Amino acid sequence: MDTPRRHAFRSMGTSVSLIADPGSPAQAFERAARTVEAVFAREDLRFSRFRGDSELTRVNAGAGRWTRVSPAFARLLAYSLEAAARSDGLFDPTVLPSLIAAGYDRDFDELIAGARDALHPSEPCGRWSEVELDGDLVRLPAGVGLDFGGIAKGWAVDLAARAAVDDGLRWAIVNAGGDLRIAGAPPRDGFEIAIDDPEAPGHELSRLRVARGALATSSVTARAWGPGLHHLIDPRTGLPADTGILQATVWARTCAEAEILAKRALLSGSSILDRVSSVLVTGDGRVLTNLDLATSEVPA
Amino acid sequence: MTEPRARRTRLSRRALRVWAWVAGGLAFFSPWAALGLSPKPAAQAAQTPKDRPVIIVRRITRRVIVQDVAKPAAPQIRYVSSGSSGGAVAAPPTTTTSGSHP
Repeated sequence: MDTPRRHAFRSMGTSVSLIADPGSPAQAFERAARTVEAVFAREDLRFSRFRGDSELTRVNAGAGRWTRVSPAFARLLAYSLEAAARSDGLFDPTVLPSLIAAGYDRDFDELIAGARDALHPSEPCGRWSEVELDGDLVRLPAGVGLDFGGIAKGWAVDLAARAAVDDGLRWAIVNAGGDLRIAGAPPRDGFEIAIDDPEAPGHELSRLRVARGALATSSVTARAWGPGLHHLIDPRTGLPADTGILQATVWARTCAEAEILAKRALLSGSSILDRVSSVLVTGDGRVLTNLDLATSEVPA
Repeated sequence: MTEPRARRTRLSRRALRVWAWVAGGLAFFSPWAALGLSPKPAAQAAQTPKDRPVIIVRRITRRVIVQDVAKPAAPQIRYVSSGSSGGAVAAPPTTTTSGSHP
């Protein structure tokens, strides 16, 4: 395969890349690159909790009373609440107070620049069931804040990948900090996607051949700012997760869904292998997967 | 009559120069030797990839078949390799997935 076309930029606090069919016309690729950047800029303005002008900041500030939201915001909130119900609260869009208590109270670039040496007491989670959504009106319980976190990134990846193909690319991969979605008509053999070693960034742990859908990886070693301090809150304890799983890479049809499943995999441990195509790295140095080396069998 | 005192043998200029070079060289390289022999900090040691055992867990206990022709078939995922060691140089992957690196 010829070298794919690539375009990279930063958004949502991470590096984003558009990778596309090398046979695509240059004009179509440039148009798609502009579209992908615009999609990320739009969704960042909607879902970032680090921007004073974002829709999410406005909704969180209005906790306790009804707030009108955009249709896209309402759709992602409905999707998140449904995911919380499906996972018995293991995925919880209301972990924001716990996340702030654990020290993740600013953009990650700022966070690592100034280390926090004190861990605040944990905050209770699990109040997602008290969030009310009625059409385009939202009411959060007083004292509760939403944080879509990686799911908003996955959501943007899905939108951007589809938009890139609509702009005339035969196939496109949009990868935002390791969460990626394949769209369009990819080559027959698919793509080789490398999984990073969670304890040695930049070193390949293994590779997967993926022809469609999305992959997401969650790790407790990325976005960590101290021993036991990272961005993945366990709603059962209100503290950063400590389940013995260091990293979970999960396949799903959409990137938003893969993000939810990757978080669940980190919180529920190896039982996720009952249901989802995944590769888990444990703290004691093992790799657990339900993808068969010998027969390439794919679990449903 | 006293015996004339035996004269101390003096090093030749050439020998002195050699000793000076050896001493200077040792002084110059000793910091590097000290650094090389000292234990690496834990953070740096953790950057080296581990040789991880891969365990295939066959825990698919149920299979849900959704009879909906509009939806695509099962995911086409195939495990290609494990670990980065090996003789042949593999082609670079199309892209990489990792845990939300900033």
